[in-house]
Amino acid sequence: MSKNSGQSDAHVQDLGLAPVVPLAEQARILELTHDTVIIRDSGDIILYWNDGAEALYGFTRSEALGQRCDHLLQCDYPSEEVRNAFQATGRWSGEMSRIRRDGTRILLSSRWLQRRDPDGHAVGVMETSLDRTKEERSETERKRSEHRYSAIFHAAGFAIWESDWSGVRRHILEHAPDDISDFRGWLASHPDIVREAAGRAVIRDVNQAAIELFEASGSQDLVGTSIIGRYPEGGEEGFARILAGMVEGADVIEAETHLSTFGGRKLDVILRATLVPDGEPWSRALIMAFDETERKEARKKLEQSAAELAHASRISVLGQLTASIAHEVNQPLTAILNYGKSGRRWLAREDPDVAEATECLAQIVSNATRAAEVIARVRALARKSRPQTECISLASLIEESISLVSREALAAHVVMLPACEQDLPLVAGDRVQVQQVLVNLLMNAIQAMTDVVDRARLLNVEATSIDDEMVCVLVSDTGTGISGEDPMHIFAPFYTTKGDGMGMGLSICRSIIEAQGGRITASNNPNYGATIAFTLPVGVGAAVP
Amino acid sequence: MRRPINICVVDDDADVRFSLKSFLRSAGVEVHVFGSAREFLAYEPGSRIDCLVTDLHMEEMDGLALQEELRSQHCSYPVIVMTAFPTKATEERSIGLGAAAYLTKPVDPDMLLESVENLLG
Repeated sequence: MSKNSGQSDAHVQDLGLAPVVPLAEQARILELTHDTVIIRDSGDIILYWNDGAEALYGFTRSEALGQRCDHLLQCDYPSEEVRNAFQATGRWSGEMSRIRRDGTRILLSSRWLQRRDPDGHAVGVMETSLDRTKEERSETERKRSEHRYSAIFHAAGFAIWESDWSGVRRHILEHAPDDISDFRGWLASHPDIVREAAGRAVIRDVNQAAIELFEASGSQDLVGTSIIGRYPEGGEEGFARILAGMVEGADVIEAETHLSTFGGRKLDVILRATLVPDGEPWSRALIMAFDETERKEARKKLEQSAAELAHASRISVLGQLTASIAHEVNQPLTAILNYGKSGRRWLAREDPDVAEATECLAQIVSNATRAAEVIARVRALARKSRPQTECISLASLIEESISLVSREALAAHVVMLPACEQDLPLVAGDRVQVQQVLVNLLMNAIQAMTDVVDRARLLNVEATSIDDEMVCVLVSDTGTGISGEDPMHIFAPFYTTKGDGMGMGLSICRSIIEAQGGRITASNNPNYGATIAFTLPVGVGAAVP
Repeated sequence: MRRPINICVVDDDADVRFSLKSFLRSAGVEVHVFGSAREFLAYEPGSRIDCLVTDLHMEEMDGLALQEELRSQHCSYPVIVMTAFPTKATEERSIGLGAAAYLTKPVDPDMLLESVENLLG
């Protein structure tokens, strides 16, 4: 079967309209052709059925001859149109469908020629047909694929535009030195050429998201223009990286760059450029733009909220510790008052005792320092600072945290038992935040033991190194334990067992520990109470005081 | 000449304890200080004590428990209770157990001395 319809047309014309060719020869040609040739009489009875017809329809010649063509092949064709065409020109060509022997319907491109007797009366039809099914299928596929592409293109939630970059390519190749080996470096050092090249990119189509991204009034603002107007001065770098990638033969290139909208807003975008092989090189480039501006802003806001939440939670812990803190400050102040008045009395004696007075002054200084240290600790917790990673000594941090909650423990008759492994390595983390976690866990443990009456209220704080990379801190109590099947649920936001609690403490602890590369887990002890364990990575460097 | 007054001070905070000792000594008072109620109770039972000044919140045995213990031993000397966390409940209990005074920390040492002197006439 020929794929060339022009050729098959020639057969029909030669065979039907060239009486100069002897009949026998005509018949031989008919046998030889791969096209289907069928000759029917005026009653649609098949008189002739060639090899091509056998191959296409599946009926042998003997099966077909003498049958009514319409019945055999269940033809579907525009009969009215055929009749008119025959009347006018004696021929018809068009599309029709038939059913093969195996039951499949096939689409045919058919050419019919009316046969006439020497008197000019119609005596039947000679036809040749070409199977268009495959072609049709691929055409349908192509249309469907095009449709799908178009649907995706237009419905995508991110900006896409199609550009012709063939001019960009030509411009670069024209200006690049012949012996160039490092396109990337050359482009990076020639922003002017990059800018000119970018100006030669022509946008062919844009989707709605792209229109919105660029704050354009419609596609007409963008289609037919180059993207260059959207590149702020100095924004060539990202474009240069894409160009370099394409010159080097990459199909998909990603680059971060800035673009400006019609409204003058500056965007942080990630561009992903794909070259679609089609015609001239680079004539079809698909550019996708992912707006990072919002994500970056959102991330910033999220970080800010997390920091604020952590801060609020610290303040709330400090609120719970107010009595302790007041006491911690009150003690050295009491001592200062006592030593001050004492010193004055030693000096006011008839025989002033300078040695005693000097000792009083020394004690005043040391107690003032003690008070200042308490204030500094509290201030550090209350400070609203950005988290920073530093090397911290867990042993001293645990000691400080225990001292912060010591009054609470005392009031609740809880005995705190710190046990730090000797030569525990320093850990990397934010000092204030890790202390916040420790204080939070200690306070929770103390509160978990308030109802315990039948056993000692013990609060163990252990710090051990797991391996060269991680250190683990265990805070375990002999309280009532964690109810429910999965102890880990206590880290969910808003989980609380306290009537007046927000339930954010442990959730924030988890965020803090995970943000510093550690993990926090909760489990019930075999006998009584629960253990909260968290890990922190070993730090490298000197401890921060 | 009058014999010097003997005051005992019980406070678990060393700085508070020793500063009070320094002050009372500078005022010519004989002072003995103790870091816990138990330490104080272990102090020679036969010693002459004019007045006891004790903190309320302490580990193991607090000021109230100490008062109860002293009461059961029929101690006759006055007891002054100091606390950084004054509450109506502890004040009532303390006074109920016979405290001569219930003072809120920080206690002005001159005032403390004055109340001791008043107590002892």
